[in-house]
Amino acid sequence: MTHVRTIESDTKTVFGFWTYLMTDLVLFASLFAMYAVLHANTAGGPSGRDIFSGPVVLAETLILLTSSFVVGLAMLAARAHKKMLVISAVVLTMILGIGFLATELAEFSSLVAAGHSWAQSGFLSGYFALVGTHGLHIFIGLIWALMLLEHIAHNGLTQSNMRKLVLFSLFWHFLDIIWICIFTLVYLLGII
Amino acid sequence: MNVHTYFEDIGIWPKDNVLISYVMGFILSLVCTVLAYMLATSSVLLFSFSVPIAVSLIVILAVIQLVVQLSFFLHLSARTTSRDRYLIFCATMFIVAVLFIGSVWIMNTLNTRMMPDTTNMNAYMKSQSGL
Repeated sequence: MTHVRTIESDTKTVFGFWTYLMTDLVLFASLFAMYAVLHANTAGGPSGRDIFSGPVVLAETLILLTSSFVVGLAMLAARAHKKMLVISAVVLTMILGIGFLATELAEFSSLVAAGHSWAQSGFLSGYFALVGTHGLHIFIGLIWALMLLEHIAHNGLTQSNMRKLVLFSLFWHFLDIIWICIFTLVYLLGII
Repeated sequence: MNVHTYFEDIGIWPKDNVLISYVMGFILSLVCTVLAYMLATSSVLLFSFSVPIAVSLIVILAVIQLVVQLSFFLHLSARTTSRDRYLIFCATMFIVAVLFIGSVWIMNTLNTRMMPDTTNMNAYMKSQSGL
């Protein structure tokens, strides 16, 4: 006997996934608290003002915000039952996500190359842990989007794939919300 | 499953126009981001704000953007369609506030809570005992 998914069971799945996101929020809150405590402990190394580049961070923020909006467009396309539009929107989301991650990794590697790795000071440990954890989530989201694409391309917009798209959109919007907090607390208040 | 009402049926979307909600959310987020960035990079030159005022304005803009994205992108509201998600979100925000504010408060006032070193402690005890 195959398991038949109903609207009720999908509603429960969405709620369960939302609950996971809330526990992830607590994880990020503890990383933010750690960063807030450690950010002044530069141990003779650079402070945020010395190493953060405003235009690069603004670009990252706009890229991620746009990708969050494009996921919304993918949802709208799914409701209109336009499979190719959904696929294009998810591909565009992935391209923007890859652009964001590449920029962030370039930022990280130039810091490490300049000798400002996580080992240098409490500030840099907190910075790499917080921003790196967000980047890791983005990376996992990209793999997820790839698998989602495969499912939609193969089976079309079935109920199961609609549910997968909903969960992915929640995850991706959530990561953009976390990024606003990083953008504000770490970067803007760091360079002001 | 009815594809055209699936998102409404599972309670992820409200019944009203969702396209406008996404576009509004995007535009408002853009405005908040760019304003906050201008405040952080050139507030002193452009608006002659002092740093504490600029910091408060940046934080207020971030809070506005969080509310915008939560309601326009995640469609979170106290209405019945997303009530369960809304309630667990409020409970989590309470935990987040305790965790963040509590950590910063305790760690920033740590010095006043610690016992002084031997020299200072002896001086303190002497002053207390009137020797």
